[in-house]
Amino acid sequence: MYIDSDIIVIPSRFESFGISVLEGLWHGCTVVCSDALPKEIRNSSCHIHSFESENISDLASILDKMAIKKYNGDIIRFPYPLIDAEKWSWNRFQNEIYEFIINRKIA
Amino acid sequence: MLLEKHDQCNNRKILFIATGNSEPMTGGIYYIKNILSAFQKKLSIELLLWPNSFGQFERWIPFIFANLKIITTALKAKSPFIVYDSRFYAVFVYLSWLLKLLGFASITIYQGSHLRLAVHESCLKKFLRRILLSSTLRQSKLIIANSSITHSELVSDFGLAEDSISVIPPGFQSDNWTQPSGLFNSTVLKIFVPSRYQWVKGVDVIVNAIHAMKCRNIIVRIVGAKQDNELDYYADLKRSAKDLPIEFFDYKNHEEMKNVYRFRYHCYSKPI
Repeated sequence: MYIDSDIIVIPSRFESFGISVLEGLWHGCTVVCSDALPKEIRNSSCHIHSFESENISDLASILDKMAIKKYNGDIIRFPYPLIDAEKWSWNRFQNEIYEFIINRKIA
Repeated sequence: MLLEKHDQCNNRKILFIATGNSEPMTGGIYYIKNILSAFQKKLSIELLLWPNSFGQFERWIPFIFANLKIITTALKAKSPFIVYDSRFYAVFVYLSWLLKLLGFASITIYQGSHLRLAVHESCLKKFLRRILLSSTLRQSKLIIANSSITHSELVSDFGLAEDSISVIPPGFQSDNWTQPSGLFNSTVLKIFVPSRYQWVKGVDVIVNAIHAMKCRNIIVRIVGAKQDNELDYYADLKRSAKDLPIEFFDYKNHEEMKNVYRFRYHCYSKPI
């Protein structure tokens, strides 16, 4: 599905993280997600378009723009990952968590 | 994710046990695995991970057996370092208190002097889960949230001070995914909605947005798990999408989506 799609839509009313956004970006897809997703995710790429949660006309308007772009032959889906590999690496997480725990020196 | 540190790690045999939870990718087993990896760089640690994540799919019997195995393994190893689901953590805490109240002070089920990691689901709306999580929160010295949303939830629902919680987002595991392929020449916009058929996931919002769209050069595919308690919601979705270019798939009957979940639900059953 990710391989055979132009865009990924995450219309959630609540999402504690939103891993599907990263999966979509990794596959080169443009992502449209609600603003109920955390800002760390929504701001992670210029290929993410967010809409006001539950705002149907807002979402329809974004999708219409995408459909017109697609019809005109504009690039919506890319043949390479769209995420910052370093920012979302587990190495970065490991370093942050280690530093955090060690530096806090809990007795 | 909650993380509690009572004691500095030492070089004794350390056993980590992860029971996983409903968010193994963002809140569960990947967290555990990578936290452990972080410490492995600096400390001598023996590691065993045994998540129960598959229990979510097959429901309760495998879940119970997986956790029994975890508990017996921990008891045999006399582990000074235990990782488990916060629900079990709370059960251990309450059971210990109960035994003490009943006069069995010599029986120790949970030991407070060890480094403990507890991973919990952030979407804890249910009353029982909230009670269980409260006990973990009260005893935690360090609290780490996986996102600003989880951070806000912990502040608003549990009255924690904002600066008492740190946000450290997880990483993204791309190893198992197929490389992105070339561009499409079609003029039809292919829209994919990976979601569960639940109100909170807003599937009705996308269906209504498709209704409201002016363009019709689209195909929408929604793949998710039907929820037993929201079958009416699913039926309504299908009814309202009757004349729209929307296809609904159940992930259980969809090989690719089953693989997606398998990628997320890695099982580490031997020492790393």
